[in-house]
Amino acid sequence: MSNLIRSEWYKLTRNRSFWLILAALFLSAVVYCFMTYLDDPSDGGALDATSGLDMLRSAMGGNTYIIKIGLCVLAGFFVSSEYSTGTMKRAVSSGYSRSRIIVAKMLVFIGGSVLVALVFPVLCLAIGSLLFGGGSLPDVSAAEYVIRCLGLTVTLSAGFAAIVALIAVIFNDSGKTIGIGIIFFFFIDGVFVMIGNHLPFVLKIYEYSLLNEINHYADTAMASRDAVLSAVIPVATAIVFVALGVYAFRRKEIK
Amino acid sequence: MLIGIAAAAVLTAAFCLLRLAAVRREVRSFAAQLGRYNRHETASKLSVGLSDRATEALAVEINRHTELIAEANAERRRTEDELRQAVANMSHDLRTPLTSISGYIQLLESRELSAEERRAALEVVKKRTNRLQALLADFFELSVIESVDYALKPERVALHKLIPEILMGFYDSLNEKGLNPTFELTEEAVDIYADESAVRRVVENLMQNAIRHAEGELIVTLSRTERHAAFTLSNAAPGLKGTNPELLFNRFYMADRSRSGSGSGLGLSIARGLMLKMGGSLAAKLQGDNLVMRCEWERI
Amino acid sequence: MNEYVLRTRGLTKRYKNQLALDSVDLAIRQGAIYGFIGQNGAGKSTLMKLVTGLAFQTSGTIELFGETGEKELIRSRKRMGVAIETPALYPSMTARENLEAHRLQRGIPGKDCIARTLELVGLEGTGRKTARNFSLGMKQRLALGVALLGDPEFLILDEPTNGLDPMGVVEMRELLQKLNRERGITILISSHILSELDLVATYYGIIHRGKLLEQMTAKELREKCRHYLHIKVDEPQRAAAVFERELATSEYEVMADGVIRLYAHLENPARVSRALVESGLEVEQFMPTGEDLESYFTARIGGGKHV
Repeated sequence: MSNLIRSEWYKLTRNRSFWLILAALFLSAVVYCFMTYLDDPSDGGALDATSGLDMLRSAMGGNTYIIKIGLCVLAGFFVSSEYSTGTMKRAVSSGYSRSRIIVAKMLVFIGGSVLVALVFPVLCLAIGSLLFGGGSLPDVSAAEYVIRCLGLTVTLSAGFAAIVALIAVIFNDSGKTIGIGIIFFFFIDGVFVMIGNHLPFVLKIYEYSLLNEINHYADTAMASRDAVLSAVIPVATAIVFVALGVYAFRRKEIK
Repeated sequence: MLIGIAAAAVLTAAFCLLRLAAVRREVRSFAAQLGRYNRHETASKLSVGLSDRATEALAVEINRHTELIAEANAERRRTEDELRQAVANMSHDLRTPLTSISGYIQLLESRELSAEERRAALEVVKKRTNRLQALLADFFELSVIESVDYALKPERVALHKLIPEILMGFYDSLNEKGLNPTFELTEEAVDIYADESAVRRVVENLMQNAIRHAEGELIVTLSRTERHAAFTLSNAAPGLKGTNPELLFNRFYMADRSRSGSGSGLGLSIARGLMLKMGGSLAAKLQGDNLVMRCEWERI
Repeated sequence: MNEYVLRTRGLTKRYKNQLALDSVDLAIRQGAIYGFIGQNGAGKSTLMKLVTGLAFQTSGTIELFGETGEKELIRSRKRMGVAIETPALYPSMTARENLEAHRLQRGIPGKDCIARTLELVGLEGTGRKTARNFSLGMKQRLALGVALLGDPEFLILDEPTNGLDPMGVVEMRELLQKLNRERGITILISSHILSELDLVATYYGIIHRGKLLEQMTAKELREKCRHYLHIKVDEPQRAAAVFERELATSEYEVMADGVIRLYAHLENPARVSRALVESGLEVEQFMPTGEDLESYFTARIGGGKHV
């Protein structure tokens, strides 16, 4: 197992799109912070952050899209592409059980995804604090907020990564994975709400799912019960989807 | 503060224990894999399952060891094959002259022959017998040279004096063959530390071989570089084009398989054997249509 | 050690309504170079995919190194090196990185093996060039390198000479023979061109439309191809009758121009000719003749015009 993880990690660190996404996020964090800095709020500027924590909060809002779209792209090029290049054959015929192969792949993908999800908020917080000073928030202490934000970013991105990874395992082609993944995240909230209007329990499920949690993960005021749920539910989701990935991959014929 | 230290200590201890357990498992896995290899259940080498430099280095060395054993086995198989082939070739080489001898003997026994015919038949028998003798002598010499205990008597040899002297002896046979060789022999002193009779034998064998096969041009050179003395023979050998000239030193290789000529075909093998024993080298190269034989000794 | 590296029994694979493999019994001995011949789509790749665990059989069993259990099969695959269909490479990695990823995955200790393998397949000079920019021939060689990493005991190569120039084909052949001879690696190699495997393979299997038509040693194949009696008589049909009745054989073909190829009784042509003459046939031509491997193959898969 550790061999598989090492190998997957090696491949991830040599994956172009991984570095491309990281570089793009790095760049946009820097540009975003400086734009906010140069944009004067009293002069009708739209960007009104005045502290590092403000920066973090607004970065967390943008980060939901990064998580959803960025991970789809990464999954397409890190997971699905293995089918089209034929390298999945190399792995499957290498004497490891399929479950191990796909668990290793999904775990490393989840790890990489967490990194991707952390880059933007962490950079915004760091650069913002340098530019404006740390600042404070009304409902919560600074340390608690930072830890909670980053912690939930980790758990939620892990959960989303597992969902995307399952899509990537099922489809044999990077393009399909990216397209279907993005469409899925674009419509899924609406679908849940629509069905929820007729079946209340679906709405309940939605409320407790990570799909909804990600909309609130940067709230300054959060009951500790919600915070714990936001940490536990994505992890549980990740475990379920990895298991589903194993199930799908075990009966998949590699073309 | 104290709690922090305690927690750190517990974590460190836990990490070390886990690491130890992982290393132990890795070592057990090596043992299991080697066991399977030693019981001939598999021929595959060790694989590692832990990212650890020390155990990985151990696995590398174990695999190298396995490889050495495999190589030794392959080498043994190869020498066995060679020996088998050698015996087969030798009996083949002996068979042809023997068949002809016994044929002539039958002829002598069965027919009323004139004295003239009788003499001719006996002549053939004698020639074939001589050839057999030469062949056996060469086989024997080769086996002696190649044996580990065979020792030469090295002394100071002045090549610039010895080689012209040996070449003089070929004057007649060169003329007979109509060869007009070019000699490029250095006049400077070329001293080496070698066995004189072995050097003589090498040069003679190379010359004989060249005279037997050369067509047209033959260039004989003796030269010296800073550290080496080189004796080379170069002659046109269009027949060898596209073959590996190194095969010429194979003791059972003859450009004409029938070995109908007067030589045993072992002259070059013997020459190389002697050169190696003297610590020198003998190599054959094809340069265009030319076959170049080059002997090198270290100068003193 | 086990005498057979690979054996399949009744191996069948059905894709929806198409039978890709039909009850194949294949046996590959330790140390063999098994030439697996069939047209494109005959089932070569399907069989290899089942053996390597990429696809699942509909029925039948696979035995690798004497093991048949599901877990044992997976473990046995560690002992194989595989290159199936298009060269499976990471396009944005260099040759070295491709091998390193595979080395880590297989848990092969020590990085030396990478340089050695690159040298073995003649790619030591590719430096920072990524696999994406390789020629097809280079890709094939790198895929072979990947398969060879870690000294497998059993090599499965699917059409490894695709995309190689004639020189490359010769080099590949020599390399495979060397590996087989020096390291005793058993090789299963497929091709749709029989002559390409000539002089390399020691065993042959001919597959057509999912059925393993024949399995034989190279020697047997050569015997079979090289020899038949080329016979021309005034009345081929009567000759056919003579074969059936007098010589009790149906192993002959009647060609378009009335020439008969008799594959039996090669060891005793005199008996054949006597039988023909005694039946009052006019024998115009009568000679033992050879057939090249390619036409033998074509004849075998051409539906067998054996009367």
